[in-house]
Amino acid sequence: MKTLFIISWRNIWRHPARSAVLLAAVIAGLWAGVVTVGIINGVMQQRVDYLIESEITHAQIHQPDFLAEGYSRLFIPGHDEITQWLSNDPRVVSFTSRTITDGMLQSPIKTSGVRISGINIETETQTTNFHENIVDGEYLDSDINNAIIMGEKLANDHNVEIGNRIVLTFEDTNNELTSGSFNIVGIFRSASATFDERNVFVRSEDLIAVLADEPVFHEIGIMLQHEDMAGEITSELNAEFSGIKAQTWRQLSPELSMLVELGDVMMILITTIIMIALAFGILNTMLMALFERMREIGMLLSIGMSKLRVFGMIMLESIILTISGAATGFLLAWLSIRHFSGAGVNLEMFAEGAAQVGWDYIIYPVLTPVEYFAILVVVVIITLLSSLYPAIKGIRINPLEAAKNT
Amino acid sequence: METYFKLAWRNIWRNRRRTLITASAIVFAVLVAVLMQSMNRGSYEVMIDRMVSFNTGYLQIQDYRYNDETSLDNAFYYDDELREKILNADNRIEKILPRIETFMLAANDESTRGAVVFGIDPEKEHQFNEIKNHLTDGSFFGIDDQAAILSRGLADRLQLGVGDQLVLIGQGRFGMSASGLFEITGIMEHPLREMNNQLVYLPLKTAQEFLSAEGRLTALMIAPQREGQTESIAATLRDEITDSELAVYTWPELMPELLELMEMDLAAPRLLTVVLYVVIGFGFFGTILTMTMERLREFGVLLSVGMKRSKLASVVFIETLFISIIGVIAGVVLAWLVLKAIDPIVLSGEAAQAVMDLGFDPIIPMSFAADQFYTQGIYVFLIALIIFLFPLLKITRLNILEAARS
Repeated sequence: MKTLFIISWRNIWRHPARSAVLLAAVIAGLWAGVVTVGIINGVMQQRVDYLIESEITHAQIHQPDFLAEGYSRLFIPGHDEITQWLSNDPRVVSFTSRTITDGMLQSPIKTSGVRISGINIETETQTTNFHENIVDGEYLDSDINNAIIMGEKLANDHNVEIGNRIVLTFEDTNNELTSGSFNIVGIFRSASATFDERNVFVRSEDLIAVLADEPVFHEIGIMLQHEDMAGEITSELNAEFSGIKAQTWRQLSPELSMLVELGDVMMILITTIIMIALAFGILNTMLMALFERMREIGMLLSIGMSKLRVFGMIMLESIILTISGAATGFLLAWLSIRHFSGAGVNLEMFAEGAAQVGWDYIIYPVLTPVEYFAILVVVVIITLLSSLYPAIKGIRINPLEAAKNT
Repeated sequence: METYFKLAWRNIWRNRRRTLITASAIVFAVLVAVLMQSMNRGSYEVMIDRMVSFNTGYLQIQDYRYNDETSLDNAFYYDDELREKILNADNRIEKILPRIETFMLAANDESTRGAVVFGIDPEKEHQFNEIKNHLTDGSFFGIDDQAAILSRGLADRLQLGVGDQLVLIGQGRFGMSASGLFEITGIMEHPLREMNNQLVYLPLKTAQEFLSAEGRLTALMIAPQREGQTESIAATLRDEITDSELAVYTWPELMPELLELMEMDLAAPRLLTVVLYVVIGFGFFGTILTMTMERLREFGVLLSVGMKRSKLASVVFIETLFISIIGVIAGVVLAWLVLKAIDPIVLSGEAAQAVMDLGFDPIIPMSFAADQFYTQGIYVFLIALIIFLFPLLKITRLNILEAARS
């Protein structure tokens, strides 16, 4: 064994250039794997975070039928006890209550269906960063009475601008149609134009004044210390309070969960493609290296070295190269991820359009220790597998034939 | 010159195995590059298709005033003459789909909701976006029935089912009042959630009469045979209908925000393609380097018997050209075959569920757009040429004595 090891070691150094290229291929493969996974993770994480932080929050509470039916009489029963519970829970970072109703927005031009959300400016700002989406005018903290902010798309469709007045018509908690006029103070633009087209925001006290006789709330948005806590918080809430339904962001937004799931699939597919490229590069180099040494291996076989030992020798060379390559690649990958997770990778040069509000072109790669380890294992296995074929090929050499070749 | 070609051609077949390995490295590089591109493009195209076929269509003809003021007053007159004229304008137009759209109030006996009302031709609509597959209850109506199809969300909100009567109240063209009773013949699950909560489909003829807009449409959607033809068809149509009051729009003009979002989606895969090229490059370099080492002795002998370095370099360069061209062509063919074999990738597990929840087929289709085959072929060819500079460099610097000894 020791002799075999020495032979392999010397073989590696007999062709420093070739060994260096193999090393470089393994290093590049590992680095590519880590960067790929890190970037895809980063893109996904940023999207999910954006939607959670600006709109959906980690968990939401509604009256069970509210989301399906949308009637304003389906408000949250026992709202104050729930908020009391939430403010005593250390896992809850912040929460905000919203008064919501579906209704119609009328301008001189036309009528369209919108969801009207009455928000509490103070808690809303602590909980979401939706206020950052304002592109024109001011947020609802304006002094103007019955202030409303609306999406850019909706405002364009209705040909209205800041300072104009529009009428909102909706059913109050007694199912009576009622309406109120509101003054546009700001225009927002979120990442989704459909969202901008269908949502308007007012102050909850202004909405409650026309909607109900007492303060009612239809939605509580909750931000937690960590998104993984959403599952346990919602089940505790559902057990503690009756007549409500608490849901996690995944349950609330099928689009978002599709994004996450599809992102995972794309990551696997893209990583597979890159790994196939790596495997083939290594396989080819090894095969080439083997054919170059045909005569030498034929000689070894004919002077009586057993096939098993020849196989062992070739594999050992690959293993030594792979392991040192993987170790170096891992270090490099770790360093570059560490660097880019702070500085970010700017994708702007790869994009043809203008930057979009909401999504950022700067991606901060994210990689968990488990993923690091998985990539390391995959790259090592792929390298070893791709050197298996040349090694098998090596012991099949006919010594006579090989000795004839130059 | 001819001698060079002959020499090169014989050289590459002298050591068939070496040539095959080198060529296979190129074949594989082209294969993975096309695969990656095709997968990215495929998922991009399917996203556009889902958004576009249910929303705006790839191309749309409207009255030129409609985009500024989406009112029924700006509906245009559509008859067989106009239909023929459009169909004959460009033979790449595959389907055209008439629609009339407006906003109305939908009500049951106690409650009222805002609804987007589409007047459609059910058969044409089905050809366009397979709408009948989204029907969950009941059946479709004929083109002039006094009937309606409700989206699931709206039906739940109004607590209406198949066989119930739906009341629609609103305004027709030029302020004519429009109210009527419609029998609900079916309930459908609309894949776009925002729409699912507010959509009513009426038969086209019924809707036109109901809205005092006989023979008029708000939009005519046009589907090209392939997505890539959108712009050029738009240009032809614009030439054709200059004299009338109609305007032609393409989907990027109608949904600019979708295009921006797509651009963001494409930026990360583009970066990953670069990562893939790095891996391909390293693998390929390994193969070429080993090949060069193997032939050093041969080069040394040739130089020492008096062959000029420049001539030798030319012969080797022509060899590499041959190998690259063979490799790229074989790679493109193989890539096409592999794509045919794996298309489409069928999702499973949670990812499939998440996609189906939104009403789509759980597949990632591959793109067969012709340009990706040759652009990727050319890129890999260029990478190969750059790497093939290495043996040339080696030839110009080769120490004859040392080479002969090796």
